[in-house]
Amino acid sequence: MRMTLRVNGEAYELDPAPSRLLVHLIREDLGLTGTHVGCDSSSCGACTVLLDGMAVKSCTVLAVQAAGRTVETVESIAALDALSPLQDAFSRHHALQCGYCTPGFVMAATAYLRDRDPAAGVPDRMEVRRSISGNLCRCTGYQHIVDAIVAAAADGT
Amino acid sequence: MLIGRGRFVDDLPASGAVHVAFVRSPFAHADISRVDAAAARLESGVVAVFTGLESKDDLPSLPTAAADHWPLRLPLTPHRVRYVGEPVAMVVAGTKQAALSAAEAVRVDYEPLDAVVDPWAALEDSAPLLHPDFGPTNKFGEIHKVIGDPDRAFAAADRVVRSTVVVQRVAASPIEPRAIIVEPDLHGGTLTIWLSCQAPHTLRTWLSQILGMNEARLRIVAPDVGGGFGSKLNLYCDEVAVMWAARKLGRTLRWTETRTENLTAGVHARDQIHHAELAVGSDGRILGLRSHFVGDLGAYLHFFTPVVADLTIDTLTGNYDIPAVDIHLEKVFTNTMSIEALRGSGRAEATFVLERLIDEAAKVLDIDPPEMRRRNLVTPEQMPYKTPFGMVYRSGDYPALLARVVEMADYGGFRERQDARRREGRYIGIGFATYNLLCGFSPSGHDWNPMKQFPGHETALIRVDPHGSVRLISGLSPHGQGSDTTLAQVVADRLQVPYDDIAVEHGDTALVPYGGGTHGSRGAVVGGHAALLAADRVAEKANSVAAAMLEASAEDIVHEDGGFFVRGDPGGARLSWQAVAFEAHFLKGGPRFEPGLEATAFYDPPDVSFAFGANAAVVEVDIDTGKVTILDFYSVDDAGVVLNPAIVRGQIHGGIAQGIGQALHEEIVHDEAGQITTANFATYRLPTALEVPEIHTDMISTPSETPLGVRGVGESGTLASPAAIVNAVNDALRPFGVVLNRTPLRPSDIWEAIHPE
Repeated sequence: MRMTLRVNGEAYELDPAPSRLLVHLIREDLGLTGTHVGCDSSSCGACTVLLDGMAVKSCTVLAVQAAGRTVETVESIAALDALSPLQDAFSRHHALQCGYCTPGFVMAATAYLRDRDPAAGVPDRMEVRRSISGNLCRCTGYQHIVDAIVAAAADGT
Repeated sequence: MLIGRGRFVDDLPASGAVHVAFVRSPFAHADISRVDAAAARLESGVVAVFTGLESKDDLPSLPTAAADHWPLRLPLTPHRVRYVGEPVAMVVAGTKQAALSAAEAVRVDYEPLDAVVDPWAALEDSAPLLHPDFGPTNKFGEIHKVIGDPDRAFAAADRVVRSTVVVQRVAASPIEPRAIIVEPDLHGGTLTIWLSCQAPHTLRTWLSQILGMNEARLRIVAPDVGGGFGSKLNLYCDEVAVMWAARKLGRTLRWTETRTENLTAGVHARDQIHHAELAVGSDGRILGLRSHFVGDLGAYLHFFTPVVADLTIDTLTGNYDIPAVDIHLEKVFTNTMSIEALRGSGRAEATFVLERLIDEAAKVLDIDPPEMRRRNLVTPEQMPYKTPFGMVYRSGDYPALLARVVEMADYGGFRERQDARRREGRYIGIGFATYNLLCGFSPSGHDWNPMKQFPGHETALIRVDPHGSVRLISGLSPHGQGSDTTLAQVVADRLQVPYDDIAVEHGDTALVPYGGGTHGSRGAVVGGHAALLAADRVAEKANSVAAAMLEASAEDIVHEDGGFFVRGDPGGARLSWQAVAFEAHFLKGGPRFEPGLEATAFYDPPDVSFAFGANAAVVEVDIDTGKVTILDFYSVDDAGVVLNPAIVRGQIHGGIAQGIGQALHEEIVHDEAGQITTANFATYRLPTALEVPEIHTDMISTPSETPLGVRGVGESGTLASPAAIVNAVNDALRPFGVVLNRTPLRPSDIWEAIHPE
């Protein structure tokens, strides 16, 4: 089905099959391999992207559902010469080990931080845990990930 | 990884690559009567369909000389399948979708046979026989170790605790599924494989033999690897099938497994059932330990399959002084996927059995659980202490670790809080466990060395460039352990070169000297010492270059603050590291030494390593739903000298999270027919950030008897955590007279125990 969509600020005109998943369009048709596939039951969140600003699991979105909409993937989060404050916090707090699930966490946390009232101050750690409860990590035990998101939120990001 | 530029195998471009999909057995035990790939071959986009039946004379068998008397198999099974998921055919097609579609069009007719999934049942003479050519029963082997006089200990004991302890089958579940790209060069006779794996050199050695090719012409590259935890250390038959097919077709092939394939056709772990007993005196002293247990192997053997349970035997007494033991292990085939290494393999099972017995003994003796442990822990005064299995504990203060975790958990106030909650109808509990992690695999000189197919040494190649920057090439194969950081720290310190001037590389067998890979908590303790040894050699060479430049003898050169000068003349001529590095390559001063500034070290560790610690878990059990909430988790760990605190903490957190999964959430479940009913992440439940609580850690550092003073730490978190949690649940449910000796404790298990029919 012919469609246009914006991905990371650029407009694309594509013709995906109706059954094609958004994650495969992103990875294979657009070559943006930062978004990962980790499961086949919409459970792990490694495929998380932002669709019109909302964190979604791109393995559970059909490509055609993104027609006319805006997609942001992990490749769009850093500036050319600097990590985003959240990414920088991940690095400083050792919030990634193998890094495979990290793009999903970065996108989920980016959405969480954008949706927060920056004046709300340091978030409750349980609230942060709920915001990432759709993302699985097998390496970190989540502790440092929560530290990083809390730190980024406290910095008013 | 943070910016989405990780290079995991499925992320890599592979020009001209075609895709693979597998046809797998839906039966746990069956004979193949017919395979018809005609329709599949006609589907659009299909390049080839290979079946085990048609290609059986062409397919390589595995493993080859890996071990004596192992049942052999072909990567695509021609006649008899022995576990659900066993590959029988493969499709190669232009796209993934075309491969998957054609795989569904391959028709396989099966004649089902009786399957056996329960390991105790598999031992019986009446059980379906998996490998008739191998022997008359499904028993692969057994070990029976008797040390001291356990019969007398049990006869003389004031109390004997008997428990059937079950550690369930789990799956490593790295978030990155297995993935492979195979690029053959038929004219050059080379094969390049990009593989998500943990030990590229070892795999290359055995794969070259299996594939019948010159080892030097086989290159394996582990790019970024998204977790392994022991499941990516193996010769998988489906990966071998991809390699074989790539060479047959002369085309680049790529395959990435689905999560369902990972959970069903990827290796499993743990899965032991112990009939265990502890003999104790009324003073709380442990007099003897017995266990008769079965180690389920699965249907086929991978590298560690036959020896995982050996590790359970050899570590079953943990940190405790237990004089008499009787351990009987029977290893048995079942119609399931192979059991294999997983973070803490063998040792986590041992710790769980031991720590449950200790808690049950404490209960019958009415001794406080931490006190029961205190009375039996090996003390520093007893060291060097030799365990019944010949392990020698040379250092460490186990009572101090226990005392610290008891303090962190505020145990003093806990019983009052527990009583107060009980009066409100709420049930909280606290549980303790200690661990001793045998790791740092593996020294060639140690009597105990079951890993016959794996090298035990580690390598490091340090190459200094003319402008002084340093490249460290390590034989480790880290996939999140932070070895790039810690190895660079070791080298920076030894060579007095800024950390930022050091680049670390690993994973490519074409580049890296023959190393052992990353597993078994060996990164710092074996890999770190290899790097240190190489750095020592580079430092020595740099010294002699500096000596030549300063016209002094090498013994008179001082290397300090990153510069070289003559002893006794610190204000005199001083050479920078960069000046020495340059002269080492360009010899502007003439032929005074062999050119170059690099060194390779192969380090065979002199001994195994031990790390130790103690955990405490505080839980609340909802008696209406059976749900367990971990309120707090405490861990005190002694990993020796800590090279990088954040990295060490991260390893501990990750191990504990896996232990929480083992304790409460994860299980690979087979029905009686051998079907896995937990074949995706919706049913095989990894803990999320809501199931893992805040983890409070502290460290005590007892340097090990090595130059760096480090110990292993990668596996530490997995050992005592399930025991601490299950002990806490038992403690919470004490008013109900419930005893739970298994993992996982799902809500249904707990509810049924509280409300027996």
